[in-house]
Amino acid sequence: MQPRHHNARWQIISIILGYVLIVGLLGLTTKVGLDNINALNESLKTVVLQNNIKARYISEMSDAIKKRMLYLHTTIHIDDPFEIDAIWEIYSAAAREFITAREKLTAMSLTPDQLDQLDGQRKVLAQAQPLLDSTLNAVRDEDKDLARANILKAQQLNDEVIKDLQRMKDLQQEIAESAVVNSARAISKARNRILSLIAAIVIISFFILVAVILIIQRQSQNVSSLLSRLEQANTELEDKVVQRTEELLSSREENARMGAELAVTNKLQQMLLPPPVELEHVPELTVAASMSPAEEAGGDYYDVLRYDGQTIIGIGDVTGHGLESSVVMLMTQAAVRTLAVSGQQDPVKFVSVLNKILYDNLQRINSYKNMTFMLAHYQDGVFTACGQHEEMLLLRKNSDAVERIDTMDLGFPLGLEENIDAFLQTCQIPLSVGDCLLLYTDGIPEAQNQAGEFYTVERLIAQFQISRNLSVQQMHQHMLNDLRAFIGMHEVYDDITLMLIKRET
Amino acid sequence: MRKSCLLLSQGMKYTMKIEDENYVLEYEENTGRISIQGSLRLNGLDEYAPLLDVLVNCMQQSDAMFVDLSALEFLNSSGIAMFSKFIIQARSKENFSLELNGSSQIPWQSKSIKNLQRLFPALVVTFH
Repeated sequence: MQPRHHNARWQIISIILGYVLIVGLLGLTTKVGLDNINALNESLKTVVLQNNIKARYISEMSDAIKKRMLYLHTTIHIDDPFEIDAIWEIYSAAAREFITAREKLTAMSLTPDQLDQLDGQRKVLAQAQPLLDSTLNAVRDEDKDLARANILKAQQLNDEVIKDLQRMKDLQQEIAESAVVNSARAISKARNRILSLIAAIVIISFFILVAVILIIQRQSQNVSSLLSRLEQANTELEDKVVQRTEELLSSREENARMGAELAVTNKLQQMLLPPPVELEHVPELTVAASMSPAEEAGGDYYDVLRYDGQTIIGIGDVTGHGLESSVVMLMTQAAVRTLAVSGQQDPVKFVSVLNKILYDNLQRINSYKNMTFMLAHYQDGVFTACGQHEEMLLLRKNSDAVERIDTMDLGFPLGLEENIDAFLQTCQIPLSVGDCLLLYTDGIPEAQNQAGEFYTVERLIAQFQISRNLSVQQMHQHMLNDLRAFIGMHEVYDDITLMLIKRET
Repeated sequence: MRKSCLLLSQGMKYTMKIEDENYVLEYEENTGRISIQGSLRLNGLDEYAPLLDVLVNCMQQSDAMFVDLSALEFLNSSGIAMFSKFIIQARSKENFSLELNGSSQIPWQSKSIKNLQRLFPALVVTFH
């Protein structure tokens, strides 16, 4: 903001300077114009005054000559010598008047032409003087004819002088008139000069005005663009606040929805697992089983069913977690029970049909879920298994070693392929009294501790062996405890299913 | 957090890389080679979608493809489902050869790669 203030100060200073300049120029122009006009006025006044004086002197000279001629005429008719002398006095006075006026005129500033004229007149008058003198003498001598003849001659000469004086007067008039014309020109010149100066001032001030207007306009544009940017930023901020609020609200809704989904999923999963009371009533066998879901519910499945004198045991693991996995598990449970109720005795057909049911349903819901699944029929001491799942661990009563029975070649993940008959096989395991079979899902060997180590099947086998003298329930509890101790505070990634089956009788 | 980037190399062929703190997927377009290292524990096929896209894209671009999983320490069941889905798409492409390299030292691989081979009998599997 600092440079902006700086700019504003400079603009104010330049506007003030502009005004001072305009006022100064106007003052100067006015002064120059007034001086010029005053000077012209003075010179015009002088010219007029001098012209008047000159005209008066010329008139006086002319009058003196006329007066002299008049008195000269008068003398012709007068006989009285005294009277003639008196007139002579007047005549002489007129001559003196003429000379005085001429001297005054000569003393004034005259043009060379005028001076020549005056000189010419003097000669004419000098030529006339003897005539006048002889005329006066003739009058005194009473020679009236001579006097009359001289007067006529003198009259002519005088007329010449008077005409000359008149011309002089006219010339003077012309000079005066031309002076008036010249001064009028000078005044108009001065006026033009003033007008052009004023025009220049007007143009300069116009440019200054335009510049000031442009600067102000640009500044106001800057301000308005800043304002609109500010407004835009404000709107964006408001939008962001609204958007964020909506996001928060929707994430709250999303959280609520996910929480509800999780609750439903857990409920579904737990609802379909066999309750302990069912497990207690399986003939010949003691079964201990549990499934503890991961933090996000998954798709582990196990079941123990009894129909037509057969015990049907199933275990499986649907890929992934969440509602979809649980729904697949629900389908599996219902289909297994349906097949069991329908009396399907052939494990291969059982698993084959189950695969087809799951495959068709998964295609319908456009899901790429699949599941490992193993089904076993138990009857009369024989455990017949079919389907691909984890290894089965078998601890014979009379052996310390745990047998690992691979199920890889007993089947194929369910729901991936429409027909898996080519991969299905059965495996018969005779169970003697006291033999114990352990089934699990991959959540156990793949459980990790804080150090990132896997629990592994080997560790499970070791715990199986360690706890072999405990009751089935206690063994089950022991192994789960060991697993929990191993995991510690580490995250549980997958569902953990552990099932122990021991032949008691 | 997952990062994806394109790395331009010589000849304007590119290498694509997807990684987070647990795994790295690298795809070299000019060789049709994809390697995945680390531990893949993504949640569901949705989270595996970017990786599946790379696999499918590679399959569509080339007639021969090599997938190195020998340093993939762990793959969860959703990851196996992703590979199954990929293999089912790959087997329908004519004259396409696919080779998987795995490690016999890694527990999940022996079983899962065998299942993949069952899905696509022409799949060449090498273990080291």
